[in-house]
Amino acid sequence: MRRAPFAILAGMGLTVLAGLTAVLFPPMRDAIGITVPGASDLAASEALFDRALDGGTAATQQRYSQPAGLTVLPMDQQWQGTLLKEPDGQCEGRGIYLVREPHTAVSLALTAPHRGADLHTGTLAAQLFTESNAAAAAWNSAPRRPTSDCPSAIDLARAGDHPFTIFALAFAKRHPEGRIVQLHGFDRARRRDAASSEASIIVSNGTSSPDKRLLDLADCLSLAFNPLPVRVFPLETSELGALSNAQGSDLGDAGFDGFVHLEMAVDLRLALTRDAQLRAKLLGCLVTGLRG
Amino acid sequence: MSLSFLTRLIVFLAALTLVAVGGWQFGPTLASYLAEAQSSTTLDADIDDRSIVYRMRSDRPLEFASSQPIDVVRGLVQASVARDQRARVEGFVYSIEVTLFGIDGALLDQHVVALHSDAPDSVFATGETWRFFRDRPELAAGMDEIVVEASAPIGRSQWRLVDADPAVRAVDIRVYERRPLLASQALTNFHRRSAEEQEMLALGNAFPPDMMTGEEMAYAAINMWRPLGPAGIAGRAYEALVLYEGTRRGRTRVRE
Repeated sequence: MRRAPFAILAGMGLTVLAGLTAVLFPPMRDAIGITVPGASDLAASEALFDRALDGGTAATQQRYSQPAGLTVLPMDQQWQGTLLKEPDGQCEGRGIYLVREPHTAVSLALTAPHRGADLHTGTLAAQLFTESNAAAAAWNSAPRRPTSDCPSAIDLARAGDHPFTIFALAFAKRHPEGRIVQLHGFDRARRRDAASSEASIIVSNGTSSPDKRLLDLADCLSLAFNPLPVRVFPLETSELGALSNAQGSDLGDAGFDGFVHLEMAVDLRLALTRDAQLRAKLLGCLVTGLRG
Repeated sequence: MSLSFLTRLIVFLAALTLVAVGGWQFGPTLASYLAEAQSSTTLDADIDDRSIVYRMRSDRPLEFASSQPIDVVRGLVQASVARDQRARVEGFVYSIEVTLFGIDGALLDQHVVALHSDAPDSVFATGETWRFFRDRPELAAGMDEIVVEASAPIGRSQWRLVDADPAVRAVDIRVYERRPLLASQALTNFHRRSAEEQEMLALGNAFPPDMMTGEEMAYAAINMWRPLGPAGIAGRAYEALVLYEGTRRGRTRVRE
């Protein structure tokens, strides 16, 4: 009998998530092409993201959204934030962005640039966003690699001149003490060194010099997910360090030290999407030590 | 002015001269050593590894269940001391009780092992591998290894701190079981390791990894240990901490 309330809550959570992902994630095969944004497009994206992250009104954001190729769906209880996405039927890989009211939000952005290719990372970012007070979330809208069904593809983690990177920079400007987490998935069987092939999590800040913030996060993850192995690049593994990650590189150039590249093995990703307590542990670490 | 006062003045001046000459001769070396020692725990080490360790208690043992029946269990024990004890020449003593249980839960063996740990500064001065906590005041002293064998298969083991030198702030432990690897898998496993890991595995061998035979590689890989987690709920049954391991900058690991 005591389990009944938990079952009801879990059921409600799944219903909300299903509705949320339906709105957030239109099928990626709908991508009709990939836009190569010019300087004016990027400037428009920056103006839009600045206003969205500052809590500007929907009308103000709407004014900047069209040049950026995005539409603005105002704050909704379902997805708990303002949704910026491409108009239906016009997916050109500009990405999907969700921004929470800034006055109550935690300076955390949860992003999944390889949703679809890195299984469960898209759903996981949505779950973590709704279960936390994170200020922002972002996903890819087109697939990472082209397929016969879906020839339009873009790898956002390597796209510097892209709204996805502009969004990360706008977040860093609004939350200079915050943290931008990129959720990724890796395949143990494809790793070269034993440390990676045995790891459950590999964290990096996109540089070869892990700083105190990253080590604090890694320690927290190690304790929270013990005995699953958590490795720090490049101290404990020589792979998956995100040294060529476009967002990590641009954020570093901008002086932002809160970029986290979080690689997870598939069994952990699956477990996280299914287990709210496990997600709470992950969120506990991601918000620990946030300075903004 | 009395003669005795003059004598005292001369002795005092002579002592002052000796101190001045000594300071001139050994001051820079001493200052350098102290400066190095002050930062020895973190700054001058290249971090190689992070491990979860479990804090031992005297009133309650830590219990580790093996994933399968094993004939040998291994503990790496790490004493930590207060900062003002970092240079204690005689080091620190403590003792640990290891209790082994069979797969049916029956008591197999009980041992009390007395250990001696070098002071942190001794480890710093002579060692290449340092261990430290990033976020705790105590300093890691020398590490000890306990390997215990039993006549019958071991199902679980209990580890308890029996007593310790008052200067010892804490004793932490990692417990391992041997990886169940077949010889054929061991060679594959060795080849899958990075160059650094192969170098580590081959430390006990006379030759470097690229000069080892397949049999030697397989033997090196089969002698690998897997960490065990304690039974119970974190925070209640045990306290877990992250222990860092680093190599002293400017040095590389050398073959024994």
